[in-house]
Amino acid sequence: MEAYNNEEFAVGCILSIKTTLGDQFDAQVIAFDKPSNILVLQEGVSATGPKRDIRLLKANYIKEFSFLGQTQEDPLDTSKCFLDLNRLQAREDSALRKAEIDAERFGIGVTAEAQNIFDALSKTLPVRWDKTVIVVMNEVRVSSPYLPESVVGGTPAANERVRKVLELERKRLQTRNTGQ
Amino acid sequence: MGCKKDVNGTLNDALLFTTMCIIGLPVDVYIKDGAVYSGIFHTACVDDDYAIVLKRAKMIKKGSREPNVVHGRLIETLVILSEDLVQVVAKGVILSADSIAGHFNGDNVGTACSNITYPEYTKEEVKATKLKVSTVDGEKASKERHVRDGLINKQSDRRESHESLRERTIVEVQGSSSNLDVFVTRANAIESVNFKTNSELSSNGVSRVSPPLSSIKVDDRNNERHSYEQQTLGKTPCLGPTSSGAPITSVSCVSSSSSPVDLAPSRGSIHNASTKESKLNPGAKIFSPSALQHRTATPPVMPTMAYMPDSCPVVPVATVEPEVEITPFAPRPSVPVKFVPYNSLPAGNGGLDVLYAQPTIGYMGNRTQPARYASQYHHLQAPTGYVHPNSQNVMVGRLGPLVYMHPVSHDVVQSAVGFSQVSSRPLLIPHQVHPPKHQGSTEPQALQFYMTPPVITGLQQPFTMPSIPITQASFPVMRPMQVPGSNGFLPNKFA
Repeated sequence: MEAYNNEEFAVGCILSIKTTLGDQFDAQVIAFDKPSNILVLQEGVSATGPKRDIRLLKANYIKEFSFLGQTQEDPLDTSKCFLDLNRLQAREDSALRKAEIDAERFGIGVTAEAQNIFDALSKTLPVRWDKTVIVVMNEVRVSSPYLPESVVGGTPAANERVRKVLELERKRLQTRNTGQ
Repeated sequence: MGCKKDVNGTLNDALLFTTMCIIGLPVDVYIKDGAVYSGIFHTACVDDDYAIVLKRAKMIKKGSREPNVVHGRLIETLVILSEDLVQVVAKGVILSADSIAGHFNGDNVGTACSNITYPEYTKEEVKATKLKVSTVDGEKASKERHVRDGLINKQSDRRESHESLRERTIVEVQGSSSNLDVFVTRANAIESVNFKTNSELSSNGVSRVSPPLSSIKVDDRNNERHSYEQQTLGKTPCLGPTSSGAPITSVSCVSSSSSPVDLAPSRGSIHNASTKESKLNPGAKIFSPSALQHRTATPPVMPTMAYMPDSCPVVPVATVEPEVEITPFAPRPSVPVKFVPYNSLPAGNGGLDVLYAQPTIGYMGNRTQPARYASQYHHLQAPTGYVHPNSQNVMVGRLGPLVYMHPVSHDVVQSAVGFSQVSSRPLLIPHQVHPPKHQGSTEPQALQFYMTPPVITGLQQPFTMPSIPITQASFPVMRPMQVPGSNGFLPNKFA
């Protein structure tokens, strides 16, 4: 039945595929969708555990492939396929939230060093970017070149604290860089 | 089969399933020019072509062409068209449910997960056992409907202004209602109505490609199912720019096909908020909006009214009965009885009633059939008092009455409010009110007029009202009487 459906790619086959973009991987065919010409593949078949890497590959970008073998059972057990929309939604939402949080951590148009300093400061203090300025505790601003001298604003205590942390972090970064 | 699929333009179920499985996961997408984008898989268009939408996408490898995307910049919503798509790689996906079986519990199973009848090649069998399939479809559809509810709800805000359009939709649905009765399973009936509605909605929606819609055939179950999915997945992108301010980018060289997209957020946020939470804690989530709603203005009665129509065909209404329950009454036509309680609540309690009703609905949400109603209902409420009735109607089922509802509802509302303060017989009011509506739909308006005036004007009048339709004897005992009376009424009208 499957063969009928997937003339070119029989479900269950394990193939070694080379794409036109130069990727090469071994994967098992889960399905082939003719209308869209998409091949659904899973990697890591031999690995234990339920997690797989899934690839949806347009078949016309396959440069070459070789047949490695075939598994007996259907790669997708239809009786065990469930979708929980709520969970999907939740997963997407949390992923988006996480991405958002991560995104906020990245300064835009800042140097790698600035980002490192930001990351370092974020370990001990609440920080955020205001363009290229690192805002610490919502009051102390550290602008380029992010030296202790460039710490401005905030209460004297806060300012002093930020300077200290900055200094320490800079030292740490320095040693880490030289250590590598 | 293969040919058929080609004709339908729908995707292989396995591909669809896989697609669903990677929603919300970080994926790497390879583009024709060699560029690689990493983002959160949001949705896919599963029409003829397989296009995908990423959220929070970022180019992690530059391609040979000069894209309209800045390297390293975060892209809120990235549409990758089929022509550009080479490969989607998702890591750590769990396809089999073995490992997540534990997540399904109790009643939620019905809606939360649906068994995917998935090998396409069994279509022959599927057709043979159509009945069975149709129920499955129903489940599936319900699931999808959750999503769609989100979409539609979102739209409804926007569409407030498009009264006419909506009316057209209603008409559509009415037309289909005759079919409904024919359908063997209730699931089917609902499905078709919703289906129609949906297609109508989408066409109303924002201007853009709606090929999948046109391709839909009502009579073919399978097609329908697919079309649903199409709408969920495929439509999402199409719907639109309006829904959120998020910038949308379409990576492509194909300018013509720039179909900006973005229903995404709506689906993500709204749907998630309501559906998900209702599952976890039905009462809580649903509750709050209702409260808001209440405060905002239009009395509880409004929603009630809107609800009535639903009851006719299918039933969920039954559940409306506050605490009583969800259970299985649903399928029964004995709706009328249920009406009464539901209505009575709003009228009598004034503010509180709505709240009560809502939680109930929330529960319903978890079960398959009722779920839709519940969710829809809920969603609809969010926007505005006024909108509710209409949109509700659209969604639900038998719309005949609905049209009339509007005018009536106002009166009802007013009267109800007045009564609640004054009299201890609030129950009557709703009762009376309803009959008129129904009559209005099926029978000449004369009755309606008759009915309504008393309600509006006199507090004491209500008594007379009931007498008109049926039960005179009922007068002495108010409450018991009402129920029977209502029963008598509705059936007649419907008949």
